[in-house]
Amino acid sequence: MPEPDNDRRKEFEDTALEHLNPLFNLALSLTRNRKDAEDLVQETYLRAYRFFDSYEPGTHIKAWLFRILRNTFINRYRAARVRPNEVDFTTVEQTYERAIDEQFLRDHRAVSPEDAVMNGVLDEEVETAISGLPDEYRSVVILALIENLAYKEIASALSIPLGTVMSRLHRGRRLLQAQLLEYAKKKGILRDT
Amino acid sequence: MNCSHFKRSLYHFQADELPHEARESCEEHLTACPPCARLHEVEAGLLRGLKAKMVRCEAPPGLETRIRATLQDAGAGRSGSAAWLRSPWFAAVAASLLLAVMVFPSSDLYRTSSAVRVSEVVTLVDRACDLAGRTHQEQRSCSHPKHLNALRLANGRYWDLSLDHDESRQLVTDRETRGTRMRVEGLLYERIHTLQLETAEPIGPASVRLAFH
Repeated sequence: MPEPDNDRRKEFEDTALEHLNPLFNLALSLTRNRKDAEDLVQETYLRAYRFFDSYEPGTHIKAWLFRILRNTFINRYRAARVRPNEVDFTTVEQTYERAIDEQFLRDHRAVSPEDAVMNGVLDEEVETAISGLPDEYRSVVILALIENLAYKEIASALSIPLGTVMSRLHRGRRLLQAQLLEYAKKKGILRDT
Repeated sequence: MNCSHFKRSLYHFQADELPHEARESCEEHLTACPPCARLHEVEAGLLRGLKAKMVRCEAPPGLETRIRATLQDAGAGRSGSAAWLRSPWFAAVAASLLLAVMVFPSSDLYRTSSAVRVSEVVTLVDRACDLAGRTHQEQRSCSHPKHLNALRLANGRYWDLSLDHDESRQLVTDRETRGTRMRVEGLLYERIHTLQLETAEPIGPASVRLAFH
């Protein structure tokens, strides 16, 4: 007869381990270091397992795991952070809107916005741009654009209000897209205005 | 809806996160306003390009195996704890033990249990809140009278602190110390998961000053 703890562990593994890659991806974006990301994911699974009794079957387990990972990250690394990244968002916003206007709205160029990104930006440059986002925007952007979580699920995963998710995603997208347009401009895919 | 309102709602419209009525207003505005329709098209193209380029990093090979092994260890540890907890005399023994430690801090309870000398980096946490996934900041706000601080090890296990020094009493009850990482040294009584603390040295920018020396 199987041990109850073995059954419990198997149930946890079957339910939770399929989300290993999304968790690792978020961990990597938070720690920016593969070794730390591995440790963070390992600790997240251990904590989730200990707390598995409180998980309600049928609810969004990925959001639940993301929340544990984020709390573990805050607990482990917040003290080590010297200061948060600071961004002058007003300047970014103005530059971005001017670029969109000049590149795509004033006259319809042969290159589409999608092609400008696909052909003018390297994968590594996208990684660099994501990694350069302030911490609070980076997690929201990853959960929304890679993991396709709904705003409500992101709010639950990061324990932040819905309005904060919306504003961070808006700003994060702007910062990312502004950076990608710069890359495309440098490669001559977009004109240098 | 005017252009300015549409622009503010554009990203949420594209994410399909607007309430039904707001979504309908955006769709109506798009059919009536070519500049906003073009902006929508441009932003949607950029988003498609961005999403296509954002790839998820895969976990390294071997990580899953390590996690499974950690869970197996934790399960074994949990079986031990669960057996204690399920035992009908557990509550009585635990209460007697705590009382004995508090009343007779240097009692033979420790001497009769085998101890090993340890030196570990640990985090001071409110054990109950920590198990519930609360952040250290949230733990500091928890004033539940039955919640006591414990030491969390890197492997996720916990040690209690003996109460035989006034200084360690501070560590057991002070909410402000929660989240402090420190290197501790002392005698670990493995059977009762309790550390008789000898030294505690905060690591990094400690949020509190430890009175223990």
